[in-house]
Amino acid sequence: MALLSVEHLTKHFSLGRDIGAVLRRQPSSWIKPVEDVTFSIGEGEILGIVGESGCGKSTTCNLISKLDDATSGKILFDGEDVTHLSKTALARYRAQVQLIFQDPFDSLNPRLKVFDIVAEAPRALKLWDEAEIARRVPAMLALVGLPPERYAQRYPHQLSGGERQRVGIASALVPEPRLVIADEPVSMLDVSIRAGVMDLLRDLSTRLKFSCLYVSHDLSILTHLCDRVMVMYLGQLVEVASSHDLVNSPRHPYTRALVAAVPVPDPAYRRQPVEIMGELAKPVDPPPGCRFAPRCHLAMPQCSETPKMIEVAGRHTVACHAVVE
Amino acid sequence: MLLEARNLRVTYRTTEGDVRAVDGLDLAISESEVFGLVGESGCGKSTVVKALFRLLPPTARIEADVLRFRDHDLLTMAPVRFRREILMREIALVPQSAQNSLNPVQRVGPQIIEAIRAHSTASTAKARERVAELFDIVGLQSELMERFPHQFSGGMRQRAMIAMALAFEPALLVMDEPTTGLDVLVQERLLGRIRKIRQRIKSSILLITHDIGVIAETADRVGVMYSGRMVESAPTTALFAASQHPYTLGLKNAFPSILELGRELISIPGSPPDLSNPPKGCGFSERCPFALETCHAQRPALLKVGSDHLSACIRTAEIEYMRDAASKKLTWHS
Repeated sequence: MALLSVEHLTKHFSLGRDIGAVLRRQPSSWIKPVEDVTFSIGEGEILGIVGESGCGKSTTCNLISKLDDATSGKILFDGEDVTHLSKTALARYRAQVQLIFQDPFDSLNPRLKVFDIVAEAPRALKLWDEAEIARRVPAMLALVGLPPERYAQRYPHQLSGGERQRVGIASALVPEPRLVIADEPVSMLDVSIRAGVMDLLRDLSTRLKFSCLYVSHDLSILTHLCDRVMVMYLGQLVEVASSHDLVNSPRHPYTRALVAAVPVPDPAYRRQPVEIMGELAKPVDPPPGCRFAPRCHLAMPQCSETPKMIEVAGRHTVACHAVVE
Repeated sequence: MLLEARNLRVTYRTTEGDVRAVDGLDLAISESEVFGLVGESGCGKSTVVKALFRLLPPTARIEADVLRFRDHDLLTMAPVRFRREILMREIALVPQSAQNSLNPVQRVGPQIIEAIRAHSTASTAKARERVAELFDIVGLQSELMERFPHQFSGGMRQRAMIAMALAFEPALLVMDEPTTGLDVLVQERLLGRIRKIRQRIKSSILLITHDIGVIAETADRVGVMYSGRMVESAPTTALFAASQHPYTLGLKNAFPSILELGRELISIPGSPPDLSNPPKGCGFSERCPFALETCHAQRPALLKVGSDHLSACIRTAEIEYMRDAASKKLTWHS
């Protein structure tokens, strides 16, 4: 059974109106960063979300982690509807769904020692007493490759970027979450260090049995790490497939462009031409239908209707009128 | 040789002692080539740019055996003369995060016109014509000259900055991390544009990046920097097909490629050395699985290992063994 299912998840933000718009009786503009997104994450699965800036990948994370409330749609966690939660239920949910942040330099409190940073969540969520925390935190530090005798009493500024991100991972994992949401956790790290952090996450997800929603703009990182990857464009889900299928047989014209645009560290490699028109828009008052249509070389009249997600092969779904035909 | 640096050293004076950000760098760029300089954060690649463009703060000291651009000695040239005769006309810079380098309260065209007029005696009308030409080269419509930077997308602002740098068709165009922070599709377009620009203008390009994927696609020759020094340099194909330095081998192991999904990524253990207290020997020795006693004590020279291929490693003779061993995870993480 799926650990997390998201059904028709939608988030709209009003941009408000200035006095001129009010006088002219114009309706206010809406940003629609997430529109009717449906997917699920299995137990122990690492699911990737890829897309360019403004595609709604971070908003989706915020909605699932309950940092923000959905406009409509449903979030089911372990079969239970968590779309609207009471304060106590929310605290319980937060212990089970943890976040790893992008910036290991900004996301750690500079005044706390590593031990206290990692102990912060269990203390705030009142999970265990101090004796239990004193037992679990060092164990977790050891698990992420930071021997507690050397690292527990250090401050963040005494750590390198890779070490800080390991602290970030330790604090996310110490409450024993069942779902970890990682938003670009390695994009600020150097290439030589990245692979270690990715390995760690993958290894711990099997050992500690948590699922992971991994967000990145970098398709080559995602396809190395994730079992399945979903592609978003301006708030809409356009394709979901296994990493292998996504790279080797992308179906949606946007995914094809995205795969073709990835730089490959091989000077002999000749890329497929990238077929995409125009520039990336913002999801402000988007017209109905497929939001990729204005840039799509396969666009046709039906594209003004939103295409449904259709299974084109085993566990490979695409939302595109042209492809399904 | 267009640009030649031998034993370039840049030292920052700080309250905690001297920090040598560039520590004996050798660099040579020929006419009309794209030279890619790769390295991780803190390896000194941005300091090299600052040294070339005299953008170093007063606390920095720059020394070199040779620092020559064509027949100008950049080391002894007066800053005023550098700005008047060399900057923009001979060497131009597209700075890091160029998307944010335009003046937000001035239209884009006039900003570039102003830059052209500051470095030449061209009339405004002549300069305007030139900007229209430059916009065409970088693939922007000339109507966009009258727009403000906020009306441009990130990729368009980047291209506008490239247009400005190309104003006098400089012999050397330096681009510092041009694709960092851009979306993949925008990056792809920019790289395509750089390739097109090369067909029209014979400038050399020094492309500085941490992304070896971008290097593989764009550069003719590559230099790999580590801890303030050049550890390997070679034509791009040779560097990827026959890497010589353990750091380059490690970097390739760690870099994901969509062509090899099954390949296990191997990180390099440890982190780069602290430049305020640099190791005596090879900068990479602390992280290198092949390091010997001598590596920690003695600095390897950058030596010729093939045609136009230089590497700074004392175990170069054993490269076949190292290459084979470096592809195994246990070699790095035992």
